[in-house]
Amino acid sequence: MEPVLVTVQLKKHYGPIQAVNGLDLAVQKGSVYGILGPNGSGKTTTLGMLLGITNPTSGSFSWFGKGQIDDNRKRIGSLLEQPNFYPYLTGEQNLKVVALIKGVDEKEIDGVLSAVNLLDRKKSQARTYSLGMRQRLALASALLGNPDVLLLDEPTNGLDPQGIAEVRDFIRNQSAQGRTIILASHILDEVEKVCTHVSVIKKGNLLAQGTVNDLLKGEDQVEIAGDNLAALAEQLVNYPGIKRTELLSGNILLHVEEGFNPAALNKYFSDKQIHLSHLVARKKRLEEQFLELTAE
Amino acid sequence: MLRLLRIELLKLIPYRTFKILFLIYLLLMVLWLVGGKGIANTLGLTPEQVLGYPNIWNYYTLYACYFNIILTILIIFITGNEYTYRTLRQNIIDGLQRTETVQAKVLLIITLSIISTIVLTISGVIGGLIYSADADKGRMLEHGGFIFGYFIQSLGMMSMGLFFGTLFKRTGLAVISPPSLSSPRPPPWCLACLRPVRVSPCC
Repeated sequence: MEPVLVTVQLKKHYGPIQAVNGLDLAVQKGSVYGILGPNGSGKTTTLGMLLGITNPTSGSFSWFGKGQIDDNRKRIGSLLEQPNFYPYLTGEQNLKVVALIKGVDEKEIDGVLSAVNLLDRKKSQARTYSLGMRQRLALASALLGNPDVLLLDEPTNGLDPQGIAEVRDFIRNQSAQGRTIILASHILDEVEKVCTHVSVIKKGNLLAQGTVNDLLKGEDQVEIAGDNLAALAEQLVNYPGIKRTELLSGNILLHVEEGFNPAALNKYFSDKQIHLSHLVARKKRLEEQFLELTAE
Repeated sequence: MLRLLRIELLKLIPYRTFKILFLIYLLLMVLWLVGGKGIANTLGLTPEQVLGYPNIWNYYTLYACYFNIILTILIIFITGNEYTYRTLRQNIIDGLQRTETVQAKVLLIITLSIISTIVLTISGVIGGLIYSADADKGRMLEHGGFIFGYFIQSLGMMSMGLFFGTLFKRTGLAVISPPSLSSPRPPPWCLACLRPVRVSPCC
């Protein structure tokens, strides 16, 4: 697998504010790569640098193994923040401008417009489009020139549930056609649903990077309680399958490995003549996982 | 090069403000010829002296330089629009080089200057044919240097528009900025001092 994008210690400072602080990312060909982070974590700044509209303070990046040349961007279809169009031009005329910039045949325009269901409105001025239609027009513009990579920044921002579903279907379709997709989002659910790989960033720092399954799968947890919590915890020290023990007020939270059997734990304690007053097995919610990753 | 110009024209031609401003410009150019007699009267000259060959090139370019303010405002508008609609950013994201964004605008300015110069030349030739005394009809190309001066003036003024549009990044602020306020030529009240008809080209 060849990397489509590699960044090395990418940094951007705005005066004393560190927007992006030494990011090392690697995006493999064919993956759907999510950049997950809360608002203001530096996602858009990072993408801006990758697209040549923001100058990095230091560090470097390389597209397709070819460095930072301007022509790389012609192979990248992107949607950054909000769709930007000439409101007085029709959808079709707007795409003509993009096609000329990218050096793409104008005959492709109808194809990409029908891919996003805008063909019947191509003669209307962009200012008459609804937010969802503008977003779709931006996706159509990103598709022009059959790019190898789609770079999408919060593509579902401000859309209604139907629009969100459409965009997600779009991403899955494009991925199925072999395109590499880089998706920045603060919505965990979105990343989990469509991405194969994810990196979590916060305040410009890379917190974690890996496959979605490794990073965001719901962790199993077991809650137990008894008369003497300290004694319970003592007994658990050598119990197999427990990753971490957390002593809370009133109960103990166990972070356990997959396939952990709560019944066996119960038996273990009753064999030792200790009886549990409380035993709950549950999946850790993704939100908690995310909050934990991005916590101070 | 041609590609950059095509991009700019694609953005410009469907733009309604462009159509309106360009129409006003053409109208002013024609109106000056139509109202030539009145202008000659205020200067205390006969229409033949002002609108006939070869002096028409001097007087016509003198006034037409003011009409260039309209084209300059147009340039300010489209430059400001690139910022307000965030399309300059989008163009770069789509793959335009930063230097190309400037080159494209400069090419557009050159094109508009050529067009305005052609408009001036054609209407000047027609105006001269109508107003010239028969004896002067053959002197069409005398003082033709003013036409080139007019081209340079258009180029300079629209470039100022591009500069201030880029500097302020906003249409409103840029429109009230020096290029539109400052006179390209001496203001009208001192036209009287131009009465000796042979003045040095001041474009």
